[in-house]
Amino acid sequence: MRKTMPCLLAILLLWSAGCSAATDDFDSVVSGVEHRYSTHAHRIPLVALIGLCARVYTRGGVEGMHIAEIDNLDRANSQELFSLVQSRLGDEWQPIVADREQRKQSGAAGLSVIFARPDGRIMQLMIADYENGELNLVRMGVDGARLSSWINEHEHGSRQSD
Amino acid sequence: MTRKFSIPACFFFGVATLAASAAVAQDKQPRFPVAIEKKLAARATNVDEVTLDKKMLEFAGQFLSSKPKDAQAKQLIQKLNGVYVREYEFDKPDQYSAEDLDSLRKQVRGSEWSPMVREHSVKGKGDTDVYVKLVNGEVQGMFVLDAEPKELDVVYISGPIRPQDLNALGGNLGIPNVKTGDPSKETK
Repeated sequence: MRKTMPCLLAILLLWSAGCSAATDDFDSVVSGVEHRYSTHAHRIPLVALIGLCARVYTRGGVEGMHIAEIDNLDRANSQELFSLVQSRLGDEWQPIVADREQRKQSGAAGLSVIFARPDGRIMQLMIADYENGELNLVRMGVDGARLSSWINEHEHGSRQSD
Repeated sequence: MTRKFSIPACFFFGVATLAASAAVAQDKQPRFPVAIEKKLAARATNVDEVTLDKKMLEFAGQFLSSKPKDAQAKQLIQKLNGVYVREYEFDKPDQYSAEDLDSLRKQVRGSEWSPMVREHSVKGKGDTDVYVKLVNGEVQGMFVLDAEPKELDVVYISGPIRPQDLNALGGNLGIPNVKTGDPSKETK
């Protein structure tokens, strides 16, 4: 028992440090946008529970989910927003997929970017989707091997049921 | 303030986008070989960029299915160092000029790059250029410029690859299906 408690404590500390790191970069992006555009983000209620469900349902394929919605960004420039998110995330994060839409007549612009940061067997992802003055941010860790095997099992299962 | 945010939609957007195209750029060795003018990009109504380094390719490769074409693509990307795609869509034709295309071609005309395919449409439907990067006699990269009336695709694949491998990779990782050897086009 004397040995078990310190071990449990150490595991708990390591786990909370990992969670904190995941939350830090997400919070930094959210607070950066809030501060720059004087607005407030809507946090999704029970997101920790949703994240846990996603993790259990995908058998560890998806973890550490964080979600925020920031609106009233009508005066935001999509390129400026992209630079802000990237600078808040830091150099370790790279934009892997970016989709920019410019509507010539209305002058409106949409932007969807997936940032990624390899973290051992996990790929940390931050998805930023901006359209009509609203920015949606989703952060999650994806275990490629587990998620792909989960997807394959489901595909295999649905093929058999057909 | 209306709430239009859908958690499942956002989650599946992320996963589906990854499964469909995924990618990254962590080690910054292979650089995109051409600089695309901002003016050209500004004329596009839609710009898609995919930037995948070796690590991201490994990650993305896990989501390819076991279907024969995907299995072939999976095998190919294991050897690659990076895949970089820039896709510009325009709302009407003639948004880029022949000079714009020439300025892109000029940037890959060097000692390492050799033109391999040049298809020029007789009816002005589009041009396709394929250049290969030869290092010590071996292909170590490929540059594809595919110009359609309302679309311009620029692809750089870093690593050992053959032109015929493009068919297997087309449709994956944001790489467009580049048709080489189209009978309606005239090869110069």
